[in-house]
Amino acid sequence: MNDESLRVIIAGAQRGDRAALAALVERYAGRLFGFFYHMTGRRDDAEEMMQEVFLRVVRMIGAYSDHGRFEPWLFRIAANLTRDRIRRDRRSPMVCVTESDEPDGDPLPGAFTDESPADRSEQNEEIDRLNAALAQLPEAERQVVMLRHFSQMSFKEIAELMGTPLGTALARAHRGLARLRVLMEGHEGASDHDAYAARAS
Amino acid sequence: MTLTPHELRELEANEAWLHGFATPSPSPDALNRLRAAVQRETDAVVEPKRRVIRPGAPTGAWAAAAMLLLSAGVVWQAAREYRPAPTPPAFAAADTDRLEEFVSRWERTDEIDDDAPVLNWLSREVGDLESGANASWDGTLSQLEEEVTGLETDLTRPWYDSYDDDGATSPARG
Repeated sequence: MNDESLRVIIAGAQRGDRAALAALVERYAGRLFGFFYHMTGRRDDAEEMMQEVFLRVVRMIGAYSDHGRFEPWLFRIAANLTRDRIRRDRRSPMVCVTESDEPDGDPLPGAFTDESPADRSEQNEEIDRLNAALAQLPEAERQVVMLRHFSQMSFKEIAELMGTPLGTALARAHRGLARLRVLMEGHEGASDHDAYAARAS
Repeated sequence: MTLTPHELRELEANEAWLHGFATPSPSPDALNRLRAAVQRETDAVVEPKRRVIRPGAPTGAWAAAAMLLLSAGVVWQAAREYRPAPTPPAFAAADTDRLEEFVSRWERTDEIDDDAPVLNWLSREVGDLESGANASWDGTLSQLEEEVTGLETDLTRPWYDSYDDDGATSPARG
């Protein structure tokens, strides 16, 4: 979908066109879910937060001024929601739940994919490992890494969103990704700064 | 803090590495619930005659608040001078009292001599409220109160002087 078609969809959504809002859901549900799932480690929380974002979009899109920056606006809502949720949950800390711990035991359904069950199972293991590693990152590093990964926001936009200097956002991304890679690959050498990252944790 | 060219290359390589991972997907049931919820919400907020989505916030009021907060230069002046118009129901007189209480507590944390972070943060919060990226002024006030409580607590801790803005710690001063 190019910028022009997105503009048409946004204009339709602002007029209250159901089909346009449905198109926004189809386009962004997956990325928002992925962002929330990796931020919270919980499928049910991620689904609930994904829905909350879209409800806010429906309520607020009339106030959105389209300057071609819809995605940063959307993920700003997502980031604010995450921040509020994490603060609220500090009283009862989040637990990283893997797919295999989910009550129904279902593998990740291939809602947007058509992989075989074996492929999905392998992917689930990988996603579980990634979630477990992400849960070990400091919250600020995890948020920069996930915002960058799912929203495709620039570092300047992420820095503005998080209220930090650009250099801090870059440093958090660099440190967080290096640490994540070490955690996932279980060896030294992903970065010259692994030792620093380990010390900082 | 800036990254060296070598670190920037590492960052790019690690970003590419992360993109190689599978992305989790919402369940079909969750997607169906989402689609239904969006339809219901659309029906609820769209004016039947004009078919436009009503802005969910009194944006003029947020703009006024933003201007006051920023133009005053210091947050407590802005808060003291700000008297919200009666129209925005989300910002009541009680909220002004809470904001003033926050400012008063902020002033008492007189070891903090740099107002820029809180001004930037407030500006961002008000901008988010105005654009709809944040939904609740009450949530913002609660957060302000949490922030100042956190600062008051932090100031009593021995490691306060060794905390820098990117979350890393360095040897305590003095």
